Amino acid sequence: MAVTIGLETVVRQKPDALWSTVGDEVVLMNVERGKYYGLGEIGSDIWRRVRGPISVGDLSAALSGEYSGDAVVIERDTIALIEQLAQRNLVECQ
Amino acid sequence: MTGFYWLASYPKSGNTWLRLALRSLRHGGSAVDFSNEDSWIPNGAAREPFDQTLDVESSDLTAVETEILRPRFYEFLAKTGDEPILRKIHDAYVPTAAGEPLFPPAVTSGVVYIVRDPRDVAVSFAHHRRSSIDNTIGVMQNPAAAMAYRAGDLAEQLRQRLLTWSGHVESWLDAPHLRRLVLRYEDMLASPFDSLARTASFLGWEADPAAVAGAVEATRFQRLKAEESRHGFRENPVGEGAFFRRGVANGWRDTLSCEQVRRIERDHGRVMRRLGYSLTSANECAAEALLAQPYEPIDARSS
Amino acid sequence: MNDSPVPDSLLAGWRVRCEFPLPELLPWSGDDRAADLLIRTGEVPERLDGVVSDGPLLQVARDGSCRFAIQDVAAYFISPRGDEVIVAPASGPVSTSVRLFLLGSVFGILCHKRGLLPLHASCVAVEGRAIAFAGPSGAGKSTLAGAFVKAGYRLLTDDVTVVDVTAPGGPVVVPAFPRLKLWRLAMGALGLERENIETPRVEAEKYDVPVENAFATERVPLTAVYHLQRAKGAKPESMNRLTAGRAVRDTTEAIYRVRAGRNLVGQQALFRSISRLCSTVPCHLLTQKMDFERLDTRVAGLVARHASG
Repeated sequence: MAVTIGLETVVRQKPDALWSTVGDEVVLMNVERGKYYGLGEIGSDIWRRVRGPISVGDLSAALSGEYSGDAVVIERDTIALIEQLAQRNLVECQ
Repeated sequence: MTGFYWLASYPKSGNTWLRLALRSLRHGGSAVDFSNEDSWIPNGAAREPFDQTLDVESSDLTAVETEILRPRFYEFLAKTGDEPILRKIHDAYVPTAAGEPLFPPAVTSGVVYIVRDPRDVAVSFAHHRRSSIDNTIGVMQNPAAAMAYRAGDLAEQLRQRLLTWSGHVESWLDAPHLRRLVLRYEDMLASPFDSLARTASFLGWEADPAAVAGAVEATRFQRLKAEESRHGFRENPVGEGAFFRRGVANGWRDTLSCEQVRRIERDHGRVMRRLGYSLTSANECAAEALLAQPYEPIDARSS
Repeated sequence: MNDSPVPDSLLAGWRVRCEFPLPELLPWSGDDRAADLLIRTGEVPERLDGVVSDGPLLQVARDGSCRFAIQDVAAYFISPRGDEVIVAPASGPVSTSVRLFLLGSVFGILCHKRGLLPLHASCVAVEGRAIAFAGPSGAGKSTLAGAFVKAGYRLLTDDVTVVDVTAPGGPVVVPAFPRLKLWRLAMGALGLERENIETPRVEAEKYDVPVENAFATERVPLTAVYHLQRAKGAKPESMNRLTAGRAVRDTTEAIYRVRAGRNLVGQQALFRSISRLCSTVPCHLLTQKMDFERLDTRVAGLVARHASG
């Protein structure tokens, strides 16, 4: 199911998403499909930041403040990750 | 609540290609990573899923006890699943010691039974078993033959009873109350598009011709690779064009001795005829026998 | 009539009071606490009240009680808190087979109920460090553990590695019982005599070797988990550290009686326990050829990784 994510999209962890911290990484489980996902350092950070609803724009801006790198690239990568999480039914988007 | 589609065949009868092609078709006919073959349409006699589902160590059970529980295992998966379950299996269609079919008809949506010329099976199976062709012909005629049953050790799969090659074929072809599609390996090789399309239709898949064509194309190399490994243990070097040689499905002609052919056709002639495989005539074998004999020329040639 | 009760035994740290002898276990030699687990023979109902999980062999009821049964062997009732087991043998007295499943699936269920995490793994102690070898049946766990025992190291368990993930200093392994279950070929490879060793299910050619002299009776910190995988065909042998996601996935697959575990403690709690384990214990994928000749070399290699100095 393709989901279009834009800066104004509000994203939030799905309440029934199962996740845990393993070392420095966040590990997610899609219970329905029995699949596991490991998020790297930045992905884990993003995951924690979407605990409460936040717009992709705000999220991206916050990350640009924390991580060095082109703001445009950060924005693009953030959208890509959110898209993947949405496709795997781990976040809800409005 | 769902049902099973069994992709059943005697070992080395060619379900690998069909599984790969179905996988590609599942993805719209695109190229798929074939490195992890085992996870797609896995063997229905794999030990681990059985142990996990039944909450028991099957290695603590006898082969008979395990077999008696397999119908319960399949029924449980059907009860708790919501999509058709595809499994490859090598078991003959046999009854368990409890007197019921190993594969319950009530949870079977259909069977795709793949069959191959037993003369080619003998060659391929011998290679797979790292055994002689003669020994393998004996196994194919042994009603007690079974896969994954090593004495004194534990295999990753549950025991799969094969019966004889003929017994295997007849058990599936004559089983009552089963919806069936029978495919011959040789036909899959000659007409992959048609075979795949018929299979997809049988499985209830929506498959447009472009996707089927794509899947055939995507698996062409894999078919050739499979053919290569099948010919691989032949001593004669094979040139690049060999895969396109006519009669590649009849590789046995170059490998089996006359006596071996005779044995197989004696053991399995009736079923071979039923499946449309032509048997060798007495002349063919006799001619070869003559050629094989070393002989002394009666008259020395004058130079 | 013999009135003396069967002495209590030790199983995964529990004091076990059993109506019938349990020769596989060590006698209780700890403190004088009350028994943690009671096992007796008695009636077991065909069906529990309020079944919420209905598998072919295992029923789990709403109140948490369980019924596990193997045809022609026995039925077992497990109380909601996992402090009592009632055994109903199919016929006659309690046989080796009856005890086999008691110390197998029933034991696994008890672990889940009592807050312990059972892994389908063998485990040995190397200089105070526990190393576990996980994998499906036939992957070579017990054979590898047997090779360690032969090399002088102590066994914590050969089939069910009981882990306490809540221990203050990090996950620890609680010893199970001093038996090594080996197949005939493995027995030969390890140079073990088969005479006088029991084969619980006769046809199976699986031997139950007592190893009391080489058994660790204390809890040992879990240092590493190796997931064993067969190297198929031309695939080379390798050892790779698993990333967080894969470690959680592979460890989940290695949980003993995972389906029962999910039903008993819940998906979430199980996930948390596994994550906790993977946070502190490195997991590796060990791809190896099933080669009896290489066993001693393997042991040496693994010991070198984990021994101090």
